[in-house]
Amino acid sequence: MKKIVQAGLGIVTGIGGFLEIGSVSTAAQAGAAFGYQLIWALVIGIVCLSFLVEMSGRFAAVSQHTVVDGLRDRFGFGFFSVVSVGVALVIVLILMAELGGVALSIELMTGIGFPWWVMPVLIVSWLLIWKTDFEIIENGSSILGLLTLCFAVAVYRLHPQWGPIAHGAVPSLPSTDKAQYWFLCVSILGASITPYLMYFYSSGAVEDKWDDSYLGVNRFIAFAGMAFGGLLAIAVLIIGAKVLHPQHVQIEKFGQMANMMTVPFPKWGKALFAVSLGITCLGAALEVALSLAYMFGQGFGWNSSENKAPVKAARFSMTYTIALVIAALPLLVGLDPMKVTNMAMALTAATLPLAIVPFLILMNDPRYLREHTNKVVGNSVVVIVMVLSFVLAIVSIPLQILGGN
Amino acid sequence: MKQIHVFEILGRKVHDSDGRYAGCLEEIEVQRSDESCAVESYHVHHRGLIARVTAWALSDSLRKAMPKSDKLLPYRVPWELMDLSDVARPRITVPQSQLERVRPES
Amino acid sequence: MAAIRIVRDVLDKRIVDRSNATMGRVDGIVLSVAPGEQPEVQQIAFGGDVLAHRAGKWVVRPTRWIRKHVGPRRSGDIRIDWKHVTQLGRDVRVSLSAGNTAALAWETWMARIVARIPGSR
Repeated sequence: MKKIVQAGLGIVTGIGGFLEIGSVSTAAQAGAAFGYQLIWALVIGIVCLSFLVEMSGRFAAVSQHTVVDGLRDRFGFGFFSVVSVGVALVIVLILMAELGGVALSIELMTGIGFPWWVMPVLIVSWLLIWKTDFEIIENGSSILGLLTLCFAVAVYRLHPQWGPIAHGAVPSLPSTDKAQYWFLCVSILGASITPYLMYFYSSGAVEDKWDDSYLGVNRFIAFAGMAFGGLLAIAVLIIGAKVLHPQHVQIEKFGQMANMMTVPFPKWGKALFAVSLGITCLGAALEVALSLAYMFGQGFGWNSSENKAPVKAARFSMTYTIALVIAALPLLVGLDPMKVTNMAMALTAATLPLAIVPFLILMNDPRYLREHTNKVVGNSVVVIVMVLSFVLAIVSIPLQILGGN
Repeated sequence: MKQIHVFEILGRKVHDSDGRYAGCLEEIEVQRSDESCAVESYHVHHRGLIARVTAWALSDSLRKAMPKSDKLLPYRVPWELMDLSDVARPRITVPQSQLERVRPES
Repeated sequence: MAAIRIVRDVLDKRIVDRSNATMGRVDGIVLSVAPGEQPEVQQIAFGGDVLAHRAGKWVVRPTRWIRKHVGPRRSGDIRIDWKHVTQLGRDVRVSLSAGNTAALAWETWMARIVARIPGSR
C-alpha cells in the first residue's frame, strides 16, 4: 500500500521535478520564436532525464547510498571537489533563477517590482526548509504543482492541430536565426537534464530507506512521472507557439509569457500562470537548496538529514541557509531573473559531462549495484544526449554572447 | 620509525633501481590480522591517473573487450622492494623487469 | 583473509560509529614506515587539515588561517587507531562512539550557532 501511494506521489513529483522556471521559460521562448519546431529537444530531454532519474533511484535502492556518496568514495576527494565546485556554481545559479521566478510571479499579481519580493520569498522558502521535513516539501510542492495542469487545459482550449506538433517532435534544422535556435535548444536540454535532481532524488530514496523491493516503483516513478512533467512542458511550448508565434513576439519579459495564457483563459489567465509558476518555482527552489546541502553533507560525511531538527544537523542546515542568501543577493539589487535563467540552463548543459560521466561509471560498477548495473540502452541514451548537449552548448553559448543583442 | 600519510605517496612517480620510470603509485595492498594491518605490496601503474578513475569502474563487459596486454597491468611491488625513505621520490630497489604484474581479479 | 586495497576499500569511505551515526569520511590513512621493517597501517584520519593537504598546497595556508580565527578549539585532524576499525564494506565501521571523539567538534560548534536561530530544535 505504501508503495502504491509512493508511486502516485512520484508521478506528481515528476511535475515538480520537471516544471520550474527553467523549463517553462525556455519552452515558452522556443514556442514563441520557432513554433513547434523545437519540440524534439524537449522530447529527448525528457527521455534522458527519465533514464537518469531511474538510475539514481536504482543506485540508492541497491547500494543504500546516495549518488554523491558514491562520487566521493569511488573517485576520491580531488575529483569530488572539482565536480562539487562545478555543480555547486550551477546549482546556485539555478537557485537564483527559481527564487527570481517566485518573486516575478508575485510581481505579476501585485504590480509591485520583483526586487521588493525577494526578501519575503527568501524568508518563506528558508522557513519552509527549516521547519518542515523532507516528505512535506516533496509531497507538498508536488500536490500544489498539480495547478500546472492548467497548461494542459489551455492546450485543449486552443485546439491546436496535432499534425504539425508531431512533426515538431522530429529534429529539424532552422531556416533563420540559427544562433538563437541552437541556444534555445541547449537551454531546453539544460533545463530538462538537471543533475541536482539526481542528487535530490537519490537522497530522498535513502531518507525513505528504499531497498531492492523499490526497484519497480522507482522505474515507474522515473518514466511515468517524468513523462507527465515533460508533457506539461510541451504544453507550455504549444501555447507559446499557438499564441505568441503568429504575433512574432520575442519573449524578453516575464509578463509576455503570462499574456499567452490570457488567450485560452481570458479572465484569469495571467493570475493562473503566476500562481502555478510561483508554486513550482518555490518547490524547485527548496529542492535545489536542499540538493546543495545534501551534496556537501554527503561528500564530507556530515550528519545530513532534512528529517532532523536543524540543530541536530547543524552544518547541513547552515549550508542551505547560506546558499539561499547568496542566491538572493543579486536579485535584491535587481538582476533580471529571466537572463539568469537562460544562462543557468545553458551552463547546466555545458557542465553535464562533469556530473554525468562519473555518474555513469558508478552506474556500471557492480561493487555498488551488484547485478543491477546499467544496460546498454540506458548507457547509450544518456551518453548520446549528454554529448549532444555538451557540443551544442560549447558552440552556441559564445554565439549567444556575441550576437545575443 | 616515521609516520606518513597515504596521500603523500599516492600518485607519486616511481623509478626503479636503473633510474627508469616505472609508473605512478596508485594502490596499496594490506593484509589484516587481529593485531595489526601490514602493507604487503604497492601497485605501480604506468597510466596511474586513468587507471585510478577507471580501474574498478569499467563494466566487466567493457574490460573484456579491452586488449589484454601485460603492459597495461600495474606492477606489484612487494613492500621489501619499495624504498620510501624519500617520500617524494619512492624508489624500487630492483630493475622493473624483475617485477610481477597485478592480475585482474576474476 | 583476502588482501585489502586501501585506496579502493578504505580511503574516502564514510566512517560509521557504533550507533550507526556518520562520523565523517576517511580523508587520510597514516602508515608507519621504518627502514627494513614491514610498513603498517596505523590510523585513519579525517578533518579539514588532511583534506586541505589533499586538495593542494595553496589550500593549506588559508585553511590554517580560518581554523585559527573561527571554529572549535582542537588540535589538528582526528585520528582513529586502526584497531578500532571493525568492518570494511560500503562504509568503514568503527567501534567508537562519535560523541566521545573530536569528530563532531565542528558540528557541535555550528550547532551552538544554529541553536540561537529560532525554531532550530
